[in-house]
Amino acid sequence: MTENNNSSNNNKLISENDRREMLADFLIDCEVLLKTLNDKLLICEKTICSKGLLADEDVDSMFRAAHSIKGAASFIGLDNIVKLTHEMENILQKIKIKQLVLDENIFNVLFKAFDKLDALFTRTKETSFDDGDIEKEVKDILNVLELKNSNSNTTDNNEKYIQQYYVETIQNIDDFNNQLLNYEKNKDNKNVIDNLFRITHTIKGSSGLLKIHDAHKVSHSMENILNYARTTGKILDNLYISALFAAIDIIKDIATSAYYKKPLTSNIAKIIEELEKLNLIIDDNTNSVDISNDIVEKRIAELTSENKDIVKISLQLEGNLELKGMKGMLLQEKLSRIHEIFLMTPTIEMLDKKDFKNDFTIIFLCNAHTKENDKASVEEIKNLLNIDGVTSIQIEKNNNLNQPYSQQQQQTQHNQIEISTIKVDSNKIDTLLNLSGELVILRAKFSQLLFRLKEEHLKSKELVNIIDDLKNKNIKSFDHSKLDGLDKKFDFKNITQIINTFDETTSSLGKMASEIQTGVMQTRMIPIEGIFNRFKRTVRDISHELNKKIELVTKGEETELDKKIIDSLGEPLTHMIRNAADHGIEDRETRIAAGKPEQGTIYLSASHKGNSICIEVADDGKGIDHQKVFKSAISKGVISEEKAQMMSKEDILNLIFLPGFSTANKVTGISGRGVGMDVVKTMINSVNGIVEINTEVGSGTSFLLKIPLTLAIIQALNVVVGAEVYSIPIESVVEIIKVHPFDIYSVDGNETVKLREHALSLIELYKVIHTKKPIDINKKIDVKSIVVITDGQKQVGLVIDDLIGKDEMVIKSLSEHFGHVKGITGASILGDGRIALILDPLNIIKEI
Amino acid sequence: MSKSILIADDAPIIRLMLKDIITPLGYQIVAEAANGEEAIQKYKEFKPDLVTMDIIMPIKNGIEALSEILKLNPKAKVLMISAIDQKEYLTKAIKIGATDYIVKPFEEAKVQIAIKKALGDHKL
Repeated sequence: MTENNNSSNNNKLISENDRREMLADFLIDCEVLLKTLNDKLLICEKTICSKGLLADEDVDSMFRAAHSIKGAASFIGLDNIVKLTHEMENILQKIKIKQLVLDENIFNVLFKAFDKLDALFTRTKETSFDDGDIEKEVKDILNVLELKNSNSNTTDNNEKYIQQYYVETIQNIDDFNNQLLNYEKNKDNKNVIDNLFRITHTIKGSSGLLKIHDAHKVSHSMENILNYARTTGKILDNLYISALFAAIDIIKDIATSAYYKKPLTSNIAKIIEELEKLNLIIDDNTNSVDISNDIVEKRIAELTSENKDIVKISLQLEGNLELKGMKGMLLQEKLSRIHEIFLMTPTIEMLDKKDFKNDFTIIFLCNAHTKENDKASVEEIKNLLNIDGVTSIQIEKNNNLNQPYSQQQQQTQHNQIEISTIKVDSNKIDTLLNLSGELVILRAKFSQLLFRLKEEHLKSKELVNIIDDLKNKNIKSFDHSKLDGLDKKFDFKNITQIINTFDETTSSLGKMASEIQTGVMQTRMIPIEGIFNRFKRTVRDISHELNKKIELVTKGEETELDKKIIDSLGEPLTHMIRNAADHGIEDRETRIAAGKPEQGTIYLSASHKGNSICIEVADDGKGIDHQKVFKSAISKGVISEEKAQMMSKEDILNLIFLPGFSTANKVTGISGRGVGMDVVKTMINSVNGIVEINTEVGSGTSFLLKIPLTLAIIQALNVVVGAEVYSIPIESVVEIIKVHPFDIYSVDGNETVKLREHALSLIELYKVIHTKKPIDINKKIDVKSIVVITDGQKQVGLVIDDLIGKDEMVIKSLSEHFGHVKGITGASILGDGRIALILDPLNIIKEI
Repeated sequence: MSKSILIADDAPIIRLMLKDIITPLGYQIVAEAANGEEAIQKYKEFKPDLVTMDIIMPIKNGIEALSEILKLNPKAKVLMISAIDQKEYLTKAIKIGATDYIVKPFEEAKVQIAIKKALGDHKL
C-alpha cells in the first residue's frame, strides 16, 4: 500500500496497481495465518486425544485467523477464499460455543479445508486470482453443520429443560387456540391480538433457547403476522386465521416430537412458506405510506388525548443500506436513552424483512421531555440521530402536529390480577400425597392403640377397686403400708387424664391428617376447563371439514379433578366428540327436513356428584338406532343371533363398546356410532370410571362418564370374604341386598337371583381371584349378603361374608412382583394394620 | 487543534486502509491498537475524540473494549467496524452504547461521512 492510493476510482476502494501491492501483503499475512490454523488444529487433535479436552484459546485463535483471512480477502475480492473461510468461521464458532464437538470427521473436514485454502493461496500467488473448485470442502463443512443441527435439536443440557418446555408450550398452544377462536368470533378485540402475539412470542423465545429451530422459525413467522395486526390495528381475515391454526398445530407436532424424540412428520417448510407468503402481502401493505401514516396519526391522536407532549421525528435513510434493521435498532437505542419512545414505524423486524429499493423513512413518536425532564432541543436530537445512512432528519413538535382523529377508542386499561403460582414436579406432589396417606393410616393405628389402652384402663380400674376393698377390709396379716406405697406409685387419676389427653391428641391428629390430605389432593386438582377449551378447536375444524354447522356448548368448566385423570380424558373425549360431530349430527338438509335447527349442538358438561365427577357428551343429532346396531352386530359376527335375540335394548346399545364393532360399523356405513368406542371404554375404565349411554332415535345421544375425583384415594365399601378384607370402589356399588338361598336359581351354570324383575348373576370372589374356596358348612341355609356392582352397563352380585363399612382408602399400587392380578387393582392398609385388597369391579364383571 | 482518532483493528492491512481514508479529512490519528486490550490502554493514554473499533480481535474483542472505554468515559464516541454477518455482536455493541457502525467491506466515501457524522462535523 502506498500513500497515493486514496485517489482510487470512485467507489471501488482500490485500483489495479494497489490491488497487486495489497495482494502481496495479503499473501504474506495469510501464510502466517494458515500456519496458525494448521498448528492449532494439530494441537487440538493432540489435546483431545490425550486429555479429551479442548483449549478454548486454540479454537479462538483459529477462529480469529479464519476471520482475518476472510476480512482481508473480501477487500481484494478473492471470493472463493472468502466463501471457504466463512464456512470455516461458522464451524469454528459452533465449536467455540460448544454446540459442536470436535470429532475425527470434523478434524478431517477442517484439515482438508485448510489444504484447499493453501491451494487457493498458491493459485492467487501465481495468477493473482483465487479461482479453484471449493464446492466439495464447503459441502463437507455444511454437512457437518447440518448433521449437528439435525441431531442437536434437543440434545445435551436441553434435556433438562425439554420436559418443562413441552408442558409450557402445550399450555401456550391451548391458550393460543382459545384466543384465536375468540378472535375469529370477535375481531375487534385488541386484547386478543395482544395475547396471541404475547403467547407466540413466548413460544418463540423458549424454542429459541432450547434450539428447537423448527418451532422457532414457525413461531417467528406467526409473530410477524400477529405483530402486523397488532401495530396496524388491521383485521386478519380467514386466510390468516387458518394459516395460524395450521401453524400452531405444527408447533405442537414439533414440541411433541422434540419431547418424545420421535421423528417429525409434518411439513414445516410448507407452513413457513405459506406464512411467509402472507407476510409478503403484509409487507407490501405496510410499506405503503398510507398505512404507515395511518398508524402514526392514530397514535398521535391517542397520545394527545392522554395529554402527552410529543415529538415526531422522521428520518430518511438510504435505500441501499446494509443491515437496515440494525440501523433502526441503533437509532431506536440512541433515542431511547434520552427520550421515551411511543412508536417506531416501520419496526426493526419490518426493516429487516423488506427489500427497500428506494430511500425509506423511519418515524418515531416520542416524549418531548427527556428522561431528565428537560425540553428536547431539536439540535440535540439531530446530532444524536445523524449517523451513517441517515440522509435527512425532520422534527415536529406538539403544536405542529395535527389532530385529525377524534378519540374513539378508549384505551382499555387492563389491570392484570397476578395469581401467584409455582410449578411443582407432579412426582413431588405424589410423594406428599403418599406421605399424607401414611399419616391417615398412622392416625388409624393410634385410634386402635387408644382403644386398647382404654380397655387396659378399665381393667386397671378393677384393680384399683380391689385395692380399695383390701384397704377397707383391714386384714390383719396384711401390711397396709405396702398398699399405701402402691397407691402412690399407681396414680390412677393421672393415668385417666393421660388417656383423655391421648384421646384428644389422636382426634386432632386425625383432623390434621385429613386436612393435609385434602390440601395435598387439592394441589393436584385442576379445572377441566383446559381440556374443554381444546374441543372448541376440534369442533370448529370438524364442522369446516364436514361442512356442517356445529356449535359446542360447554358447562361446568370450573369443575376440578385430578390432573392425572384429566390427562387421560383427552383422548376418549376427542373420540366421543368426533363421533358426535361426524355420526351424530346430521347434515344441514337432513336437519332442516327433520324440522331441527340448521346448526347442530354438542353439549359437553362436567359436574360433581358425591365423590365422582360426571362428564356428559351429548348431541342433538339423530340418535342411535338399536335395530341397526343389532343387525350390524349379527352380520359382522360380533354376537350370535340366538344370543342377540335375548338381549335387551340397552344390551344391544352396549355392543358398540365391543372391540371390532367399530370397524364393522364403518364398513357397512351404518348411521350409528362406534368409531373407537371400545378405546373410549378401555381408557375410562383404566381410571376406574364407567360409561353410560342414553339415546333416542331422532333426538340425540348422550354419553355419561362417571369418574372418581382422584386416583390416589377412593371411597370404598369394605367387605369380608373368607379371611380377607376387600375394598370395593364406591362408584361401582349399586346396592347391598340379602338373599335367601332358596331364591337362588341356576341359569347356564351361573347362580342367579331375581332382583326387581331382572336376573342378577352372582359371582363368588374366589372364582375370579383364584383364592381357596372357603369351607362353609352353613352355606346352604344362611342368608347371603350380596353387593351389587356395575360397570355402567351390566350388574353383577358379588357374594360376601360380612360387611365392614364405607371408608376412605389410600391406594397403594401392588408392587411390580405381582404383575397383573386379575380382579385386583391395588391394596390399602386398614387402621388396625390389616391389608385390604382393592377389587376391580369392571374386571370381575367381565368374568360373567 | 484537529480532532483525534484511535484505530483499533487486528489486521494491519485494515488499519492502513482506514488511515488512508481518515487522514485526508484532516483528523489526526493519534494511535493504533491491534487488540482490544491495547485499544483500552491507548484510549486511556490519548483520550481520542473517536475510536474506530473492529469487533473480532484477540485478547479482548471489540465489544469488551467498547464497554471498558464507555466505563472510562460514558460519552466516548466509538464507531464499530463490523462484518455483515456479525449481527449478534453488533446488536450487543448497540445496546452497550456504540455511536454508530459501518459494515465491511466498506467504501471510502461512506466511511468518511460516517466518521464526520460521528464527530458531529457533517450537518444535514
